[in-house]
Amino acid sequence: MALLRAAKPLMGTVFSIAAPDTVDPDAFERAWQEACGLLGRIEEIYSPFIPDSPVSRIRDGLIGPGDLDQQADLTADEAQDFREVLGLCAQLRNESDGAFDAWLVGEPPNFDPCGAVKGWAAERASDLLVERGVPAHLLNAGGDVRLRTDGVATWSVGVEDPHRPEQILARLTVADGAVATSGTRQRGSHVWDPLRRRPAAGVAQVTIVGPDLALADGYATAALALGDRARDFLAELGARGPYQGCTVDDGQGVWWTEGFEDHAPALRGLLRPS
Amino acid sequence: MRKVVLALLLTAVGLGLLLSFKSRAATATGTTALGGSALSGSGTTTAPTGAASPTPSATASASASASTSTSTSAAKTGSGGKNGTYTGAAESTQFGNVQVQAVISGGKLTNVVVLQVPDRGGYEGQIVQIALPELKSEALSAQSANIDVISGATYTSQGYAESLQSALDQAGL
Repeated sequence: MALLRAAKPLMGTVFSIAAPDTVDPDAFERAWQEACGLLGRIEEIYSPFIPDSPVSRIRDGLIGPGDLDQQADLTADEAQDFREVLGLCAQLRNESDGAFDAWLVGEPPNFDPCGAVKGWAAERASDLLVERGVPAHLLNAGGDVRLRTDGVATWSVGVEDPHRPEQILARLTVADGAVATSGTRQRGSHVWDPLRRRPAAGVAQVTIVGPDLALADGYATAALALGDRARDFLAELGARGPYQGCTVDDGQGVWWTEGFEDHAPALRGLLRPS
Repeated sequence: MRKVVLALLLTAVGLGLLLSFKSRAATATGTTALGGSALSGSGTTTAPTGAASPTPSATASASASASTSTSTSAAKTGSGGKNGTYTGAAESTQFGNVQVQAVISGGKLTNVVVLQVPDRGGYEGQIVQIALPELKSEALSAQSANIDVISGATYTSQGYAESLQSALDQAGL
C-alpha cells in the first residue's frame, strides 16, 4: 500500500498527513487544504502568541468565558467550540488533580490552553478529512498522531526513545485511535508542574494510546508534570478506561500499564516493571 | 531494581527484532546509564538488505540529515520544478542554533528535516541532532520496519519556524 503524503507548518510545528493511495488524489488534496484551513483558523483563535487573539484577551483579563458570544471575531459556532475547549481543559484539570491546569501555566501562572488545543484541533481536522472522503488516514500533529482506517488495515506507530532519538522504543499497532507523546527531551523542560510551580522533572517521556487525541495528549502532559507520581496516575487511568500509558524516566527506566500491551504485542510476556 | 533491569534487558531483546534501521546520527554517543548499552546495541542491528529500496525523497533527506553542516545554501537534489531539498538558514536563538531542511516533491512540502537544534535536555553527551517524526517515519519505512509514523515529543520554536520559512522561500513556496 503506497501512501499519499502532505505536510504543512502550523501551530509552531508541522502537521502532516498520510493516506492510502486508493483515495482519489484530487479529493485528498482538497480535503487536506480544507483541513489546513480549519487548523489555521483554530491557531488564530487559540494562539497565545497573537496579542489580540481571543485566548490572549482572556489571559489578559480583557474578556471572560461568559463574553465569548459577544466577540466580533468569533462566530457562534466558534464560541461554542471555545466553550468545548474550556470544558476539555476543566476535565483534564479535574482528572489529573491539577497536574494539567490550563489556567496555571508558567511563572507567573497564566491561562494558556495550548496543551489541549493541538490535540483537539487534530481531532477536528481528522473528522473533517473523513467527511471530505478521506476515511483512512494518519494525521501527525508534530509527533502526536490521530489514526483512522477503513476497518481492515492497521497503522504501525513507533514510539520514540527519548534518550536515543534515532531509535524507537516500542511499536504500537493501532487501527482507529490516537497516540500522544509528551517529553522533556526536545525542548528541555517545557512542561510546567503547576502543583510544585516548577518545570516538570523525573519523567523524560510519556506516551498515551487511546481513542481521542485531545485527551491522550492532555493525559501525557499531566503525567509528565506529575514526575515521580506519573505511574500511579497512569495505572489508575488505565484501570478505569481505554487510555493506556508508557513512561520513560530520566534514569531510562521504562514502565507501561497492562493495557498498553494490547497495542504493543511485543511487550506481552515481558516482565512488566511494577 | 533487579526486576527493572531484567525487564529492560528483555525489552531490548524483544525490540531488537523490531529495530532494524541503522543509527544515522554518527555523533550519537552511548550512555552508561541503566539499559543504555543494551538498547544501543539493538539499535545497531543491520537493516535487511532486501528491503533497502528507499524513495527518492527518503534518500535525499536521510543523507542530508546525516550531515551537521551549517551551510545555508540550497541543495536542489530533485528533478524538475521546485522539487528538491532546501536547507534553511541557521537561525540563532537564545539556546543555540536551529536549522531545518524542507523536502519538496510534487511542488509541495512533504517533509521537514531538523539539522540542528540546541540540546537543552540536560543529558550530557547526548545527541544534538534531532529529526522530526516524519523524517524517521520515511527513513524507517524505506528501510524495512513497516512503521507508518513515529510518536515523539513535539519540537517547536521560533527559530524552527524561521529556518523553515527561509527554506520554503528558496523553494519558491
